[in-house]
Amino acid sequence: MTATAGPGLGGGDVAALVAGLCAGLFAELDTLADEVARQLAVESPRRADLDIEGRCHELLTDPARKVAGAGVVMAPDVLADAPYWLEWWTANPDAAPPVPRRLAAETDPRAVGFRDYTHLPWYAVPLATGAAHVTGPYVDYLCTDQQTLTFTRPVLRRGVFAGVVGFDLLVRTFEERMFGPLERVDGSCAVINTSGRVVTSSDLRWVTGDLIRGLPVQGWWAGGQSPDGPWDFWACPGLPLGVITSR
Amino acid sequence: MADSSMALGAYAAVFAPLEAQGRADAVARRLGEAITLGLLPDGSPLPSESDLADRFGVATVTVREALGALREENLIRTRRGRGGGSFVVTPADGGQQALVARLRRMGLGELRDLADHYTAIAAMCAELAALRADDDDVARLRDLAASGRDVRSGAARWRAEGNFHLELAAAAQSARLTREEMALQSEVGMLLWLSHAQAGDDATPADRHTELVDSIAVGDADRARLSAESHVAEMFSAVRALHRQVWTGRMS
Repeated sequence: MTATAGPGLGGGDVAALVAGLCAGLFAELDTLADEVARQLAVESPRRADLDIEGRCHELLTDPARKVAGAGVVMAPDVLADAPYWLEWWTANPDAAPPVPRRLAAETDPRAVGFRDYTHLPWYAVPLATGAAHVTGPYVDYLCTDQQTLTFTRPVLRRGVFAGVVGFDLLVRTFEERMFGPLERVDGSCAVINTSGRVVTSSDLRWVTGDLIRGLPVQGWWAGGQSPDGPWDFWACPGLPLGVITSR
Repeated sequence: MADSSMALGAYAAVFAPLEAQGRADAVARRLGEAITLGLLPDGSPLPSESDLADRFGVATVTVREALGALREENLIRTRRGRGGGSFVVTPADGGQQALVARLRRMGLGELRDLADHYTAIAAMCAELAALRADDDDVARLRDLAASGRDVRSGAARWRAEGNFHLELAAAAQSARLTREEMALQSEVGMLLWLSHAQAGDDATPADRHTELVDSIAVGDADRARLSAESHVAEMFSAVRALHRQVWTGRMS
């Protein structure tokens, strides 16, 4: 029995599988966001009020999840004792067992290694939309150092945006899960994001991180199929990810 | 030794020592440069020895050795007892002495080699970014280029320069090139940035960055590569000019 065995799949089936995989991660994130919101509910919260290390360790060592990073990133000036603050743990999900390590990120705005994270999409998009987001695939040089998908959603303090909680999933891990289903699709199949960047693909022309050029990506995302074109498109419900298959 | 290994060529390169310096030297250099560049502000406390050991992934005794070296160079002072620890001492000459010392240890060939290496990485990043950057990447690069233009103070300007090139490597979608860019920045950052400042050059890197982003935005890989190459060449020519002054004794 190989991973590729089973009945044939269509692009819609693959889109549903991607949505299911992401829904599982977002359900965990909802729990984490609630926990952080409770910890921030005190009068002028400080760094010491955050207590999510145990929870993040559990998630990072869960062999069913295989997440590569987990934590919280605070909005500026929410905490009384640090203008910028993040608590993030990383682990190699393929190690047995994965060993979580605290990310040593520079949070002093005066230092050279400091990067104002409020401009980065995994923070900026949930801030702008108030909703969950999947960033990537991108090279995450602040954290995993590898091609990564980052899942983030807002944390609220008394109803106001106070930062994001998030997970990193290595694209490699995502590919592991999607290779089987992709092989069961007749013809070529690729998972892409809203920019037309390839997450994973069974078409040898494209690999992770490539931009699909010359195809009507914007039109697909705007809801239009191209009836005469060589590709069909399915948006994954509620996600900035979609699936294309060759006709 | 150097001559005989050069004669052996590629074979010798395979078996060359991996780490020329000890780990304590590496830690001392990293901290020393951060202090010299003004990235760690004068009088600010360093993290504790065990905290530093954690961050660098070395033993506490290695950190202690590195701090000893920094103390001898007057880059930190250490107070004992309550409220004690090690504190940053910014050199009064803006790092000139440290820069001169570093250049004095380097041959011109070594300098050229370093420039070749950095050019290879930066130019390839630029070329791939032109092929692979999406609109969001371009917007982010533009923001970083613009923020570099606004800052005049040393540390903030170097931060902008470093961040721009890091983001460029990430826009190339290459994890390996990104790691290489990071390693090179920690190795040559001080050399490039301080030399550029000493040269009193008014053409800021930000202008070059903006040119580069323009090429990337229209997907012109050749022009992006050329633009990155001349940007790095400009930075290194400032280093070479300074190197010449140091080696001919016109600067000490």
